[in-house]
Amino acid sequence: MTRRRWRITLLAALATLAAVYPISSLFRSDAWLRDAVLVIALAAAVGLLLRGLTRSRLLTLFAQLVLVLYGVLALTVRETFTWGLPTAETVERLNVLGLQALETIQRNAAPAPLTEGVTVYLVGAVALIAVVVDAMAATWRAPAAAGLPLLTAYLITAANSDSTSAVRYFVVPVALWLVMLHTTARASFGRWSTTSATDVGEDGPASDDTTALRSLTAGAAKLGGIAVLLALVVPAVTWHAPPRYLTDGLARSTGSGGIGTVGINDTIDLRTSLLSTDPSPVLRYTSTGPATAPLRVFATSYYSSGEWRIARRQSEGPDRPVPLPPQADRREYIMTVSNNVLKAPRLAAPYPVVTPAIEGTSFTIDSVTRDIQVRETVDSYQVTYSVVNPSPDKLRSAGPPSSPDILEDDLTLPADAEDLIRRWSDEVTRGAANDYDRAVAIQAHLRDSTRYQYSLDLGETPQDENGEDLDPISAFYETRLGYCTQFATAMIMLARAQGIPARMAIGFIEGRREGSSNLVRQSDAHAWPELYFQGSGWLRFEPTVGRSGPPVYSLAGVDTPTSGATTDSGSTSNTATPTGSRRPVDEGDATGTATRTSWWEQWLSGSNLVILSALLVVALGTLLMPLTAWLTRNVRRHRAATRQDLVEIEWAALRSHLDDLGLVAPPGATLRTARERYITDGHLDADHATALRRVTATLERARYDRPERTTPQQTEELHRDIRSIRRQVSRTRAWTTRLRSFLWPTEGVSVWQGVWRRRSQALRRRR
Amino acid sequence: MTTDTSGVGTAGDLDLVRRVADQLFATMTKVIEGKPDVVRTTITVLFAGGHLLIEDVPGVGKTMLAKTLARSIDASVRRVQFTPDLLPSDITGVSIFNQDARRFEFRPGAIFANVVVGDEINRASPKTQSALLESMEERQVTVDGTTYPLQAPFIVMATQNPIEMEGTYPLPEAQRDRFMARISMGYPSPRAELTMLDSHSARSPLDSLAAVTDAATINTVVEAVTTVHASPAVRQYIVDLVTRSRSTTALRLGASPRAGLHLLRAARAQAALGGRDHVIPDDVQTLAVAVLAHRLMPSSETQLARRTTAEVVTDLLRQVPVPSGTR
Repeated sequence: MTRRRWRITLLAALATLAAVYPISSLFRSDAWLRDAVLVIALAAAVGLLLRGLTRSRLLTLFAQLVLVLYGVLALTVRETFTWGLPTAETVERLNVLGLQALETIQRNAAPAPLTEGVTVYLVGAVALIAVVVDAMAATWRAPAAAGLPLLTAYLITAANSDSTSAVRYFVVPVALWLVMLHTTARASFGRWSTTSATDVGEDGPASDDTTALRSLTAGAAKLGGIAVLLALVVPAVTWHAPPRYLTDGLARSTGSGGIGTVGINDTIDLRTSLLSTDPSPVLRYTSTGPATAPLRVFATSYYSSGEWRIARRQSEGPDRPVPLPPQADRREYIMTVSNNVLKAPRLAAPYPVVTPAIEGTSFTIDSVTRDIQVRETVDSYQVTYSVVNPSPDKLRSAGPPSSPDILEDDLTLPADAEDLIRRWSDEVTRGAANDYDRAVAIQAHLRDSTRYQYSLDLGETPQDENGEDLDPISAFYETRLGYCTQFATAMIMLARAQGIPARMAIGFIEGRREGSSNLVRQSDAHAWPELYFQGSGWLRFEPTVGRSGPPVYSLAGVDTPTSGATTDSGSTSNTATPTGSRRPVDEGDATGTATRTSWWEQWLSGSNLVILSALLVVALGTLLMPLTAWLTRNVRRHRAATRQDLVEIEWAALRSHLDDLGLVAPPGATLRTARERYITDGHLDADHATALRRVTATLERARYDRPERTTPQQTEELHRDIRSIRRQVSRTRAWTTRLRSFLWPTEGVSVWQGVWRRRSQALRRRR
Repeated sequence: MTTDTSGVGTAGDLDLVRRVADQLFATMTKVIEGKPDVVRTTITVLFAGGHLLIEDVPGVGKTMLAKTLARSIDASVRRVQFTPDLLPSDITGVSIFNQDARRFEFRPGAIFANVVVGDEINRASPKTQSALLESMEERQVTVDGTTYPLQAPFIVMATQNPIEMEGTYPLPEAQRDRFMARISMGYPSPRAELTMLDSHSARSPLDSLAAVTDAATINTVVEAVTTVHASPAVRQYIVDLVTRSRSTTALRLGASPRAGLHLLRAARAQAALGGRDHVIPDDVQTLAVAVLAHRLMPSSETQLARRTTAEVVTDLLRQVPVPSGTR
């Protein structure tokens, strides 16, 4: 096999591809795969080229890393380059993308949306794996070790997908890995035939080879058999823990979800369908009130890169939920839920909840959104909720919004569509005198079926003049096509543009009446906006075209017929006293403490800084001895007066290095005896043995012959030879020895010992 | 490089040394089979202008070695069988009154030859031994007030039997010091012994031996060897070795300054034999045991431990570091 190792490189690249391919099952799009293939090919090509150019393995690996990472950056964030080189802007961009990637994997169940951040970091990870596999398999010729990074790549998928991975995902990379092993092993066998370590038996070398091969084959077969047996038996008898997830990412499991629970994404991506057509039931309920109020699961104010996410708040917001509007404006009803399978910590309830009664688990109520979060999924529960119905006049005269539960995010517009939103909003609300009229105008505008069309299929995403996909809001403006998420988002943004605080609520519509109760299915998932009006709190609007049930207050002055308008059924009571852990919401202990700050700000806190500087000191301390050795050698070289001195310095350095590697020549050894010792113990091949002989010959001449006979050419050759010998001998040693000889070289250590000795002597003299 | 300004032997001289050494070696190994090291040391000592003490049990070819060397050189050879009644004058020579010429005439003794083979030297009386040893050192003989120089080259090869000590006069240390080197023959390997039985049973191999060089050539060679360069580092090494032998507890008596001189001369010859015009520590190490061991006296501890001085010298070689060029 040539030094380039074509076959093994190709196999390594294929194995890497096969091992990372299953990752595509974790994401909704395969767009990353093209870039991944490119970087894997790049890693392989660069490896091939470098192995042909240089013998230094470390150099090969380093250059491979640099070039491939450059390739990744060039593929993904080329727009930040200046003169073809990464800039500070690149780092900033990577940071932004990193945050995006982190959020994506933390907020989404598999398959997750393929955001730009995820793509960049995924391709980066693939590049790293490709380089490591290539380095292990081809550069270091240890394909067995290459199995580890391949396994890592495979585990990314295995650990993060909810379901069992397809068998081929495992079989294909493993098969390629085995072929890699086979190729390398065959090459090694081929080399063995040149040396014979054992005595030749009576039947001659051929029969010996056959016997050895047979015993090796038998041994391998036995091992393989045991491995297969173990692979079958161990999974059969061991207990299976519920799947755990890397960094608690992708489809976080909170541990309580039994079979048949229904999860709801914490993230609503506007680009893809939130809505499932899955008819499996989520819960059943009966209510004392009119069955028109949707069941809210959570609300969020944070919109970023086309997604609604649950943002963690720091100190914003009140300590406890703000009081509800006065009794005159609302009625209270009781809803009893049964057969609930909504995955904890989520709980569905109409907004606003006055008193939840949940048995069997503890719960918290968010102080801002009034979301109820339970520790474990409960089958049934009861909530007392209000239906707020302020009069349009009151809403018209509501003052400027001001409440502790209005967050900064409630008025934030996405930067990439801000101009459009403001223009659009001003156009829609032209002529409206107050916030309420504006909100009503926006809802009416969006509900106008002549302008907007309800569709679960968003079609192709329109592109801007640069050929890039438009952000979801602009895209909605262009296509006028969407479902509840798009409509709700549009209304929120248009309202925010008018200074009305608005947020996104996600939950289920009222469901279908079946017998005495209502059945809510997974396909009933819905999203709607909540707008804040001073004095009335957060009010639900319904901008989705064709969706029934906009609240009465939102229809003032609009001639859209109301279907199933809220009517007071009379059972106004907060007298019902559900049993269990009943607790007024207003007293609920809110637990919204996590913060939304960039990860590195958190990370660069005091203790981490201390750790970081400690690590830096340790790193410097670790490199102290090698640096000292290197410096000493150079200073001595510089000071050498004659060629003889130079030759001696080189030799002393080599000897000390070989000493460190465990090749010790006895003190009384002459150059020739030392040389023979080094050649035997250092397993030097013919080339390097010749080099060592050249070195000792030069040295002998320098030491014992007349001084003028040492030529500069010889000195230079000696320098070269010594370097190659050092490398060669290092290669034959165990890596621990090499590491020790690198980190703790006698050359460097003796310098410090000398310093210490002189110091202690000086101290003693002073005393 | 034909001439050298530093007065060092020319490349031609070195070639001569090599050639003569190779011829001698080829000839001698025909007779002394399976002992290349012994033969090589013998040639080294010859080239270094020293004398050789061959010490071993009877019948291993001590005398044969000496005679082989003598035959290989076209020079005068004398052989003296030392016995207790041998007189000093038998060695040095004697002045006899010539009746016809009416004056004393000097009749040279056995020592007046290029190669003197002294068999069983420890059987002669100390008086006779010292007569031999004095002339070895001074390379001249004084009889009745007249000094007679010995011819060059001059090499004494004495044999000695270490086992049968009864009725012998072992050489005192001071006298052993005169020999540049002592070698032991050792038994031949079984294969060499078999060959010997095959070839030597019919007639002595010495009979067919022809001289391959002559006295004048040997003189040139000896002269050439003295010009081999010995760097300060090598001389330092010899001094280190000798000094260490005097301080070590394993020895009652260390090496003399003459031992150092002999070692350097031998190392020079060894270097020349290796085709080098400069001495390296390996030359010194190769010859250290042969040159030093017989001059040293073991301490009582060493004797009790049944260790030989040769082993002590080997230890010394292991302990004394080889000096590097810069010091």
